[in-house]
Amino acid sequence: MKYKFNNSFLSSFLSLSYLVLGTIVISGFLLSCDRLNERDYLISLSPSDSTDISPFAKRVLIEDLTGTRCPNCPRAMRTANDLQGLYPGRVIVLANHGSYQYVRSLSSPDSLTSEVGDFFYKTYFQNVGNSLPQGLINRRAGSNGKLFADAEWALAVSKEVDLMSDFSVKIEPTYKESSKTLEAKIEISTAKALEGSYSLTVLIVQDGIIHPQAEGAELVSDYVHKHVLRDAISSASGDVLNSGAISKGEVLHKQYTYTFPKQWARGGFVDASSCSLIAFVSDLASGEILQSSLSLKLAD
Amino acid sequence: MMSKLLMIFVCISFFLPLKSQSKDFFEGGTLTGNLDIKAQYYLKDSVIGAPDVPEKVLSNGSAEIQYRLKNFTTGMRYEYYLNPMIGTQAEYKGDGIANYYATYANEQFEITLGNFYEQFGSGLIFRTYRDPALGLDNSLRGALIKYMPLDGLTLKALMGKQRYYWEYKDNLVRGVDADFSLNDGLCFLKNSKLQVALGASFISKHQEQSLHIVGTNKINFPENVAATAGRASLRYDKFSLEGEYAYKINDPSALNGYLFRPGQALLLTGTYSKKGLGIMLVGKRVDNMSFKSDNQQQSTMLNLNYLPSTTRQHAYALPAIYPCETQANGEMAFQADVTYTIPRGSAMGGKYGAEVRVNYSRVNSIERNWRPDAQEGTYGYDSPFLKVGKERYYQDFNVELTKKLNRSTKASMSYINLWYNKSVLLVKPNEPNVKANVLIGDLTYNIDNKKSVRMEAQHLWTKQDEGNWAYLSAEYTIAPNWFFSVSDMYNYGVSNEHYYSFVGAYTMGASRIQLGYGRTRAGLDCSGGVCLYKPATNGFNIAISSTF
Repeated sequence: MKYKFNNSFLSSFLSLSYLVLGTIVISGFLLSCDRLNERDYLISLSPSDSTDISPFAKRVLIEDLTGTRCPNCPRAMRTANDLQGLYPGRVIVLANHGSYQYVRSLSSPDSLTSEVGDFFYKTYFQNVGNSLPQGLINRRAGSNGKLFADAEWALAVSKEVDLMSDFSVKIEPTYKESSKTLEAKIEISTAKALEGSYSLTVLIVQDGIIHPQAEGAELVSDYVHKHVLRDAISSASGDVLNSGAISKGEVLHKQYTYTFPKQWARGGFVDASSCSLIAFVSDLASGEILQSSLSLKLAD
Repeated sequence: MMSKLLMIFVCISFFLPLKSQSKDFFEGGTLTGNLDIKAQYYLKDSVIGAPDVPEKVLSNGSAEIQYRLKNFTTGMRYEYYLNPMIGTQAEYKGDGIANYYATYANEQFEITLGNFYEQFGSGLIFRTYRDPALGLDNSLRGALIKYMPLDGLTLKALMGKQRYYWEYKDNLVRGVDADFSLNDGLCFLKNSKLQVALGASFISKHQEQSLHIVGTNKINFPENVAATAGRASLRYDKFSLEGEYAYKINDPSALNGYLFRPGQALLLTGTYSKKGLGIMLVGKRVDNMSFKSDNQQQSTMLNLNYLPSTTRQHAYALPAIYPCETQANGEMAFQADVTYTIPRGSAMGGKYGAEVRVNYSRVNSIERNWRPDAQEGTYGYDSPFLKVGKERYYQDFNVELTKKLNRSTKASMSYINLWYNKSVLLVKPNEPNVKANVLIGDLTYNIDNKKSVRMEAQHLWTKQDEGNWAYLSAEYTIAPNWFFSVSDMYNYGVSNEHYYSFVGAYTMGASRIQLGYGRTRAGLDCSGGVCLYKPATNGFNIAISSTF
């Protein structure tokens, strides 16, 4: 039963008392907030010691689905680059310019897209809608299938870099400028005996491409694109690595030959000196990337 | 197993007698509920960008039941997305019990355990709700207590975790609210013509440290972020004035660029209303007021608050091409709305009178003075509270005249002038602002007391974006059961594409079944300032709903 007072003073007193009590409660809650001083906004980090990386220390491949008309995508690339700086030698970035629905290219056809990028888009990014930027982190399970929003990359990468892999991947590229041919020897070592089925994928990425890019509400006409996926020298879905069990310490070899075209299939100048190879070993059952490696620039 | 039992329950419910009366299961108890099923057979249509759907048929549905016995109420909602329809977030894939609760309520006290929806004031710091069309459900699962110790005084306290598709985020949300109607609580105001209500609310969320790298540093995310709001409402005779101010402490997040600047919002609404005349004025300032229970969330999910739109929400198809989404990071908005009833018998009103509505709204940026060190992990900028920023986001001037022409015919004509900042509102950088004029005619003719026809013609003129559009539709209703409509939205400015639609529906009692075929264009689907991008589709669709 609610109180009904005929005494106006008592009624008003009680009403005001509740308000005062409520104010005290709210004030108490207010004191429990974390209001920070400006000097506490950031916590300094020490980048990992790059001279002490075991070949079996897990590398993390960030496959960034991006596009020239995606205004938030430069933010994601900054995150990826910062993670590379924080974990030198442990984070590899691949920028896949391939999306059909929201990220329509500034030019048509967009010379930064590729057939292999289209394949990866259809395989992994169909659910992305217009929620860009999104990416894959070693193609492991994310918040939406295998997708991670760029705000989630730092935490996801920090968990992966703590891990060791059963594989090490070594790339030995030999590029001849006269014939524009590349011979790539991939050597995969194992840390223990393995029963599963695995595949190897080898991709070409290019840095230093100057091409317009949307950034926020602006259009940056001389944006420098990095890690752009250009082509696959293996099968895009990966070449099967083993036909049976793998013994501990076994070394597997794959060799590829690739001739650089005069121009990329969708336009764009081919500059092998700004290209690198990314090679990664995947679990055929789950698709998860178990180890990856990035070569030096091909002309180095 | 649980899913199968629920599916059986849903099927049985659908075949219950189709009446709107509730069912008595126990003496004094009542069982109510509703069922909603949508499905579409998709056709690939590369001309409009409608994707190929490997499953061919996608379907969303829900079934909700509620049982009430004296002071006790309990209920649950089953949802399925098998697989999620185009335009529904892919993360919803699956099925399960999305919502359940139990409530005990008496005159003075109400407690809910389980899922609940609640709002403090205008929602500037807290509002949980469900909008199936946008795939939004940010309910809390926990406890909500309401206490009404005195007439006019309501106290609320809540704690819970927020729904995120099929899981509940670990981040804790807690809050209190007090709402006090002075006229009910203070005897000396009981009979006063001046009606006064005050309110105060507080919300806090706890989230364990996230990780975001800035160069060689990481953001020191505050684990406890709080927001508070105060509101007042004054009513005197034909006038009313309502205001709410909200403040949020430092909340660096993915949506605000990881800035530590606090957030503020102010919403003022004044109205004048008498027979035949209504005037409303609204002013709003929003500065860095995106408030989510997860600071890394960038989609429309996990909102803790609701920032209402201060523009007219157009229901007609062509002006709805350019919706204005509330800019949580900052906007200054104003709206004026006047509705006047032209009296019957007057020269302009004629035999039946008429209604005129004039509406104007304008949304601008806030004034931002960026600090020299502004970047992620800093305070960011300063912003004078009452200063309007230079960048215009949206402007809408519209006039609508509605008139009953004779006993059988009602018509309305509308003119809309729109100015639309596409770079900001659709995040399409470097694209020109859209200036559009829209003319709409809407006619309803009652053939007899059961049959009616409604026809609509719209035209949009613009030299930007997709150019001109034309729209025609016709609806035929045979009350109370049948409804048919055909419509076409034609873009002859750029694409020369038709977006046609054919719909037929049958209603019996509290149940309705609708069949349709057509194309929908890609674009933003908005409700109250919250928007979701939906891709284009082409196909046959069915919708079934029933209430018992």
